[in-house]
Order: sequence, then structure tokens, then C-alpha cells
Amino acid sequence: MKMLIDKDWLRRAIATSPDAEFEAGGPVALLDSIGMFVPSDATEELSQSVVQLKYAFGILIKMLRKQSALTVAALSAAARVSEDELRMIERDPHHKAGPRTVHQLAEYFHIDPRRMMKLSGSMVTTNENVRDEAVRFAAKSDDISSLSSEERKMLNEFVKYVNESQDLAN
Amino acid sequence: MTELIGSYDVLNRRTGDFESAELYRTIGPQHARDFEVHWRPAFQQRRARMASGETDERAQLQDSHWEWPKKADIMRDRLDFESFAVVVGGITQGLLALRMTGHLSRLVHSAQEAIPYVELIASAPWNRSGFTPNPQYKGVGELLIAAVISLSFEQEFAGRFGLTAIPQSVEWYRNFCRLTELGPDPEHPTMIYFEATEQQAKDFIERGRSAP
Repeated sequence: MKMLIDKDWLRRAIATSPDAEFEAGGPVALLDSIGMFVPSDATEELSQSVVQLKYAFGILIKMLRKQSALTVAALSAAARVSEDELRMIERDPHHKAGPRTVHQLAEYFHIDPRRMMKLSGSMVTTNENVRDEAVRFAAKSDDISSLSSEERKMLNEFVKYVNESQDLAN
Repeated sequence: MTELIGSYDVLNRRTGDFESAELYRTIGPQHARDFEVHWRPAFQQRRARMASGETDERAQLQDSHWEWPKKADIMRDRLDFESFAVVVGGITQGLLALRMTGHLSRLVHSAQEAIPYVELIASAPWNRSGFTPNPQYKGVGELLIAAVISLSFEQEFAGRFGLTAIPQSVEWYRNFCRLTELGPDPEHPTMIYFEATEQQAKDFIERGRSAP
């Protein structure tokens, strides 16, 4: 095989290229999603904040389900996700939802899947604003059988934040 | 069979010196061994720090990545796969796996034409700025992409290829490689799909020739 470059080419390319990651390919996505490319001194704090995010994620799903007047079984069927996993998402902040489940729920509720992945803890985010917003949202919610107008407003505002905020962009 | 393509110079950021890097075509047992001995422990250490009840699905997918030295054995016998390794100081610093068939261009003007697809391109953990505050070698990615383009031209794909980048790599492919960005990959919705046209491949090589 004949290379189209030589030693000088690579030296010049090194001089002009940014110090950046170049990882690509499906298998790398999994490593990325568990924080393989996050600086190591940030990972311990991350694992704590991920639980907070997942707690807010569970509340978000529950409130969106209530807003749509769906039972767990009905949402499970409509979004084509496991009923058991749906219950775990809503109840257990230590449960880590599978990427497919998160993607299906995001599609069903018209939320950007990539942003939803970050909120669910399926992908890592180091943005502290995201955790703060999620914690604030979770703290304001009240576990009642139907949504009050205030809760509905808060839910809509949080969905808007998840879909539009730069905090959850790339 | 593993073949030495040539020697190039990569920058050791820690010393500021250039060091000789060997580019190999077809990942061999030595490269797979380096992955097991040097790369995997770094991944495992990170995984242990991040562990918080991963689901079986995720664990399986991670394992499928970690088992890929075995897949390298299989790739060696398959004509539709190509692979490259970059070695500096006797240790593998970067790996690339390329599928030569079965992937169709997603560009409008060349849709349905087969192009090579980068299944995996990765640098050793200690070379990644996202993994360590003091990354070591720079130039591994540039060399591997140049190898893909060279092979694509040689095998009459006109320099074209496709790949799916993780979010942290998007800027590198967008602004340094200047590939065409085609949005989220349907198979990996959290990642961005890129393609190199013939002109972009030529420009990538030419920029390196004419840079000051």
C-alpha cells in the first residue's frame, strides 16, 4: 500500500491540528456514555450527580405519563418499552435505564433523545447547570395522582429546558 | 498478515520532541496484546470509578468493545475488513478498523455508492485529553485518517469514506478534517455521521503538503 503522505506532512499536520479527541465508531459510543472521555478527577463527583439526574428523570417520566393520562402499562405499550423497567425508572433513582428505553421514551414524548440520554444518566454530562435544574425540578414536584395547573406549568418549563437549553447541547 | 507501511514522526507533548511512529496495516497479535496489557487496565480503572449499577445491556456492549482483539483475529481472515495500528516506543498508540464493503454513501450526489466505513478509530487512553490532563502523543489520529484516505484511493473509492463520531470528536472532523456533516447517525443517535467526498479527501492531503 502506498501512503499519500510522508514524515514532513505529518509534522505539518500536527502543527496545525487542534488538541482534540478523534475517537469514532459504534463501540466508542459506549465508552463515551460511561465517561471514558471525562477527566478522571471529575468522575467521582459525577457518579453522585448522576443519581440526582436519574431521580429527576424518573419524576419527569412519571409526570409526562400523568399528563397524558396513561397507566404504566399503557405507556409501556405505546412507547414499546418494558413495563418493569418503566416502573424502575419512576421509582428507583439508582436504576440505570437502557439506552433503547430512553430513546423510545424520548421519541414518544417528543424530547430530543440525546438530551434525554444525558438526563437519564445514560450519557455523561459535566454541566453543573443540568444537575441544578434537575434537582430544582424534582424538589418542586409533588407525588399526587393528577397534575395541578402549577405542576403542569413547571413540567412544561422543564421539558422546554431539556429540549432547548445549551446546557444539554454538545 | 501484519505489514509495516512506514515510519512517521509524532509529537510527544510531554517532552516537546518528535518520536518515530510505525504504521502497520492489519492489526497483529502484538497490537491486540498491547490493548489487553496497557489499554484495558486504564478502561477498567475508569469503569470502576464510574460504576453505579450498570444494566446488563450496557455491560454487554462494553464487553463487546473490550473483546475486540479477538475480533481482530477474525478480521485478519476477512477480505472485507482492513485495519491499521500505530506503534511508538514499542507500544500501540492507536488502532483503526475499516469495513470495505456493505456501507453506502449517504450524500445526495453519491447515494447508494459503496464507500469504506470506519468501524472504529481510537487512541490509547493516555493520548486523550479527555482521559488525562497530560496526554502524551499527538499525530496518531492524523496518521490513521491519512492511511484511510490513501487506501480508499488505492482501492478505487476515490478517497471517500464514512464514520460516526462521538460528540467530543465532532469538532476535529468538522474543522480539521473538514468532512461533510450529515447529522445524527440513525444507528447511533447520540453520534454524528460524517463523510469524506473525493475533493475533501484530496484537500485533506493537500493541506498537509502546503501548510507552512
